[in-house]
Amino acid sequence: MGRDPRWLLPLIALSLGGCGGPQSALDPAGPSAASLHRLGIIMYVGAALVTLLVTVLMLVPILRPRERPVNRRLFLWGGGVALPLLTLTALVPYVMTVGHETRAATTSNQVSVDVTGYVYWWDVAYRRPDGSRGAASANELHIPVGEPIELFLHANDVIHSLWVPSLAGKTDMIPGRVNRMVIQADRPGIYRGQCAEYCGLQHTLMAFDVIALPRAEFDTWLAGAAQPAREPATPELRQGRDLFVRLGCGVCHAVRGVSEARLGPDLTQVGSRRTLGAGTLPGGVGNIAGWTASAQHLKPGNAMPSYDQLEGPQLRALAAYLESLQ
Amino acid sequence: MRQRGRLHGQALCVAAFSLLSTIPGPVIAQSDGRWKSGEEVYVKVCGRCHESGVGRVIKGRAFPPQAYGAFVRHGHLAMPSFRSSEIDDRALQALGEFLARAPISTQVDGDAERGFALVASGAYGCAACHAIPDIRFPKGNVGPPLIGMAGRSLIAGQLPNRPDVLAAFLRNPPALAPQTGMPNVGLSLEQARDIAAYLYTLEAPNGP
Amino acid sequence: MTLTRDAYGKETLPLGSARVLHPQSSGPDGLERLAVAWALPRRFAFVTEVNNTHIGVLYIATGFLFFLGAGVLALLMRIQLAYPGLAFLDADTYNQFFTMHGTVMMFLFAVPIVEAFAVLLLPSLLGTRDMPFPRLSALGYWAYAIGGTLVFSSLFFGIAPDGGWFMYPPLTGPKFSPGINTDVWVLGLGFVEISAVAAAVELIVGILKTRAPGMTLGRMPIFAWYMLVTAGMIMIGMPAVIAADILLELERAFGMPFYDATKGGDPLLWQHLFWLFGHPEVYIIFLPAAGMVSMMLPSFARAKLVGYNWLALAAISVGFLSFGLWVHHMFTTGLPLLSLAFFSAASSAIAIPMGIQVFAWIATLWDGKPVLRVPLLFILGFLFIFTIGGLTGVMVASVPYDWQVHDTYFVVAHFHYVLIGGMVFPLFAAFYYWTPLITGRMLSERLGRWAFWLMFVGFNAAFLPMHITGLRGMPRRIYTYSGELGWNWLNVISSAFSFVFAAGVLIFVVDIIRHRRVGRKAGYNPWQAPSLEWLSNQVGHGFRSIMPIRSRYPVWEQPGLKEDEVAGRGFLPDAPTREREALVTGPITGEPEQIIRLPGPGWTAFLAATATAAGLAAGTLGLTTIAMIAGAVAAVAYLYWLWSTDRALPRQLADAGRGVALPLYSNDSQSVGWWGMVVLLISDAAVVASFAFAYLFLWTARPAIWPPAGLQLPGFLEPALISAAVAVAWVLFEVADRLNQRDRRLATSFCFIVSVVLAGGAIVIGWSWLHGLGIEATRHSYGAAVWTLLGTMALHLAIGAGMALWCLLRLGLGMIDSWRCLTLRICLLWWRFTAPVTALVLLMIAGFPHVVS
Repeated sequence: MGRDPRWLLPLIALSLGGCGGPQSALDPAGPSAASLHRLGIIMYVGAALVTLLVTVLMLVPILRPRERPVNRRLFLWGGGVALPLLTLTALVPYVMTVGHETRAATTSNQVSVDVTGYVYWWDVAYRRPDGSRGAASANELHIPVGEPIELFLHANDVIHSLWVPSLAGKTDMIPGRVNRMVIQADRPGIYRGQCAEYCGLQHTLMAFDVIALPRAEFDTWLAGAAQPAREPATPELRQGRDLFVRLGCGVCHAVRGVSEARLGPDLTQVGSRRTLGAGTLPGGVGNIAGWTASAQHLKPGNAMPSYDQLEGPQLRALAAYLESLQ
Repeated sequence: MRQRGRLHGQALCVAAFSLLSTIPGPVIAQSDGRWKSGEEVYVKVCGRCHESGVGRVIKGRAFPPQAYGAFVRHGHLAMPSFRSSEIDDRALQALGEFLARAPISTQVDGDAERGFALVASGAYGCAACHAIPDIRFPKGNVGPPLIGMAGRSLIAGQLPNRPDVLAAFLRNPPALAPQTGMPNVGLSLEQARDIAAYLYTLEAPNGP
Repeated sequence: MTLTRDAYGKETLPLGSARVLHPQSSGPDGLERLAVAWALPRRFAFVTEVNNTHIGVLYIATGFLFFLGAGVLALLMRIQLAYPGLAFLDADTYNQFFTMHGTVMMFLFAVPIVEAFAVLLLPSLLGTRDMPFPRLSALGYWAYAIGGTLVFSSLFFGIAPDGGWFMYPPLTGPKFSPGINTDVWVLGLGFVEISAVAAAVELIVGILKTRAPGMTLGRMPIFAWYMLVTAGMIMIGMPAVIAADILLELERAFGMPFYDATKGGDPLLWQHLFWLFGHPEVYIIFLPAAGMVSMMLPSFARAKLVGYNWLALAAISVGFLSFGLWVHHMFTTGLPLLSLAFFSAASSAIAIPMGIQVFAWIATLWDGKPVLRVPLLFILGFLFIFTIGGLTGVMVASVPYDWQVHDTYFVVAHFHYVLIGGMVFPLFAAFYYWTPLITGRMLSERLGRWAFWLMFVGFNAAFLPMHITGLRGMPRRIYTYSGELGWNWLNVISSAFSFVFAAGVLIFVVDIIRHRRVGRKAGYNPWQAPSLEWLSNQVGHGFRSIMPIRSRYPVWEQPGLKEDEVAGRGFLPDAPTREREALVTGPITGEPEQIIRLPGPGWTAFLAATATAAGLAAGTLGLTTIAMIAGAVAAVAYLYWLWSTDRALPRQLADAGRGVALPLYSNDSQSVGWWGMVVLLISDAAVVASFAFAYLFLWTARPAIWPPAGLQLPGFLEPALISAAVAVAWVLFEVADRLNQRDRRLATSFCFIVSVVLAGGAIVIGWSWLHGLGIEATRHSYGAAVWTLLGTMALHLAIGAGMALWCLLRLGLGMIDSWRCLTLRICLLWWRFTAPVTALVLLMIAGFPHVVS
């Protein structure tokens, strides 16, 4: 079997085939993830060859004991020094080139976003041209397709790490520091990401989505996101809005035009979110009601209390109001 | 595909019922004396509301036959009254006897597998409030656990647990149980039946 | 070989003189006397035994129990991860489990068990009877065993650490981890630090100073080279994590904000300090395993090791390089790409010494006619698995690639390939290889093959898929996952085969239990090994006599070695002082220099360790009274221990056998105590350097808020005063040593007293200086760093003053004189370190602000 590279094909196919999924580095959808994937494939093949070489070399003397003494120089200089040295001399510069590529990339009318990690959710705020905080969202990042997006990463409490494998590698969010990261999606779609640095009890339930839209749709979305929430249209929704205010939801959550707080996720568009509780539940009125009534049961230790003192109709009204925030 | 209608107030429901009740009129007018059986009346007239989750379930409640007649002649809440020009006394008698003997429906006209898929999708938030045996996460505890739904006596502690009632409740919980915290999540009738069918596969842990 | 030595300065005593202490004979009486001196204490007094074979076996058994315990945690976690959304373990339990799995495997299993193997095997590999500081080994072992058990049992009370085994603040700071879980972790690490530093001192001095005569550095068994490098790495690396730990506990207990970004601290400081240790840690685990492989291979290849010099050099270069690549755990923290390029290159460079080792081992196999027995199977398994782990190591060392796989299951797979491949497989090879040496019976070849294949297949099938799981997006340390992410099958496979791996381990355990009764008798040297350990009977005194060594492979190349050894024709066939003794030899040449008397069984080490463990644990749990009582007991034990060192000894040469007479005492750099102190001071220097690093790092990392606004910067006057006082105290100590040589006891005493006063004065000046400047320890990390640095130096001065009083007392009692003055000289070493370092620290605190501004 020796050095015939065809032998490796099924192996590669096995490891790379069918490796899609919403959160897979093996299914790159952006230039950064793609070049890292390319680098990966080169290294997988190289590693497989070296493993094969070592395995064969160590089995030969077991299977066929030799009589004459070994050529020590060949083993030590050839295998021990030359093999790693030559491989690495070729690899390291290439690796660093890839590194520079993935960190570069800026354009003139670039979208810049501040993403802040909280235990256990993400605040997303689009920078206005003057650098101030514009439209805000949480646990979802809408981006235009085909453009490099500049992310500024902050941490509010402990260390988190932002990772969307299909688009780019991860970058840590560290209290007291601001890290920069560039992501780009080459095709529209929804790319899942997850916190990659252990951040406490519910580190597991700290996901988010990158939603890549064509530029026009993105512009529409961004304009909409910058608008204040609509006035509730029905008595039930009005009751829900009143409950939102009376229960003190606004002490933690912002709803543009209703409250300003930033301790919890911005809820101005919560009705259109794909998930609740940073990927804990899907969106929708049923899940909003369940989350509101039992957030501590569903994601113990998160900062949101369970609003279990509400009567049924109140819970429904509040959930309906939140769902109406689109 | 999710309906986002939010006309959930009880008053609005009554109004909707009234509107729907105008539909049977022309159907009956042409058919006096032509009713072959009580069942036909039920399927063609009553079922319009009572099988679709709009009106209450009336099959299998084992009232005396006259009681059904009284409801039909006098109306009840949102249900309109029907004159003898619309349904003659004989047909009404047949209907009453049919309904008094009509068995409790044990089968709901839905697909349990599709129903499970709907529940498991999470989009309607069932598991966010209820612990459901086949769903590992989430396991909600806002509402009652759904294990043993097949043998439970009451829905929401107040409605008889029958497939049609359950489907109607799932479609619009507050309409049937005004104090419930369970919201209308915008299920279609078909979806509600599928989910109801699934829920009836959930036996209590120690047998039915 | 010099037979008589100018050991006391003036006298030179010829052999045969009346003043040579002779044992009666070297016949059977000598053997009897040896047996009596090295006898094991009976029954419960076994805890008082300090001999390396005894402690070594206990040490390995304890480490293995922790391995099993942490393994069970892993299996439970694999059950939880087998299917998406399982609720077998809740989030809190799972977090405690993975933290404890990592902590226990790294700190309570891997590091201690390789130290344990060294403690057990090194003396007989080096041809001596025991380590130079048996009580220190015992202290290290008991502190580790008792402390480790306490820490492990925290799991049963739900107070186990839950911050991940590398415990990143601020998550582990007082704000986000107010419970005592984190303190339990610090506690556990404290015990490991004690035992590791004890082992480092022991191993370095043991390898350099107590080898068989004639065993030059070049003739040492290769394992000794590996352990020397390992011990050196512990000596330099462990202090970084000790310092990080101290800073964390200062922040948690006293609110000194080192890692709190809101008060001028920086979470990255922890990561630098932790990985500065944590990366070498991997090699601290791997190198001894590689050393054991290098020892076993020749026996099975039936050939000498290919490239002995290459391997020794490779071990040394791994040791050096490992300190240059800690940042490769921090590639995702947003550091500048240029510095990452350096660390990426350094990380890759380590592939060269690793490649040399792998190819040297393969060449050894090619060179001989390999005999495929169970240990060799495990070695081949190691070569295969470790190669894959090393290659994925090159991948994670590639900065941009690491951005994808860092903190994912790819990395989980990688480090299990490195650690299980690089350490557990060699360890099992070592178990199969050396068990006959300890128990006298062979383990079963048949069960061994079962164990190997189950472990090998189970391991690869469990961990190979994890590479893909990670690439498909699964981060590590999550207690569950959604079923829609494409990880389901991969996780089921990993979970199922983790139990296959466990089954292999279980078979080994069964084999170990049954072989004591049914195992084949091993006899002498069952593997036809070339090394010395098989000559030793591993009970009590070990060798009948200590043979002079003329080869790297003495058993193969020195004919008649076994016969001469048994006949007592080597060194020390008898116990001239009727106590436990060993030879001290020159560090490079292996020329005999001295006979040291080793301590026998005693309660000191056990009591000190128990009281220390109890005191620290009670302190952590907030049981102040118990903590104080235990602390007092520990203090008494340590003081008694110190008091009993530097004993009164016959001022005579003693017959070491083979016509050589050697002194029984040495008061200078020849003595093992002096060497031990030097190693300890190097570790200490590394702790102080870590604190200084914290100060400089925080200043350069947070230049905008360092120093805090409105702070009056320190001037030079007080530092100069303090430095002068300390310098004079040091000079006085030097003078005291000279005066003591001339027996001028009064003047010597006066020097001690004045240096105590000066040290006290320096501390007082420093205290009032900081107060005068208004530097507070809790308001800003600047104050915290300054107080920590100066507090450390004040502690050094206080200890220095204590040493002066100690010497004064012993001088007064006649326990120090011009000949018996090792105590004084060891204290002098302390001052030689403390005084310049204090001045340097002060210069940095006073001068650095000016350099920056």
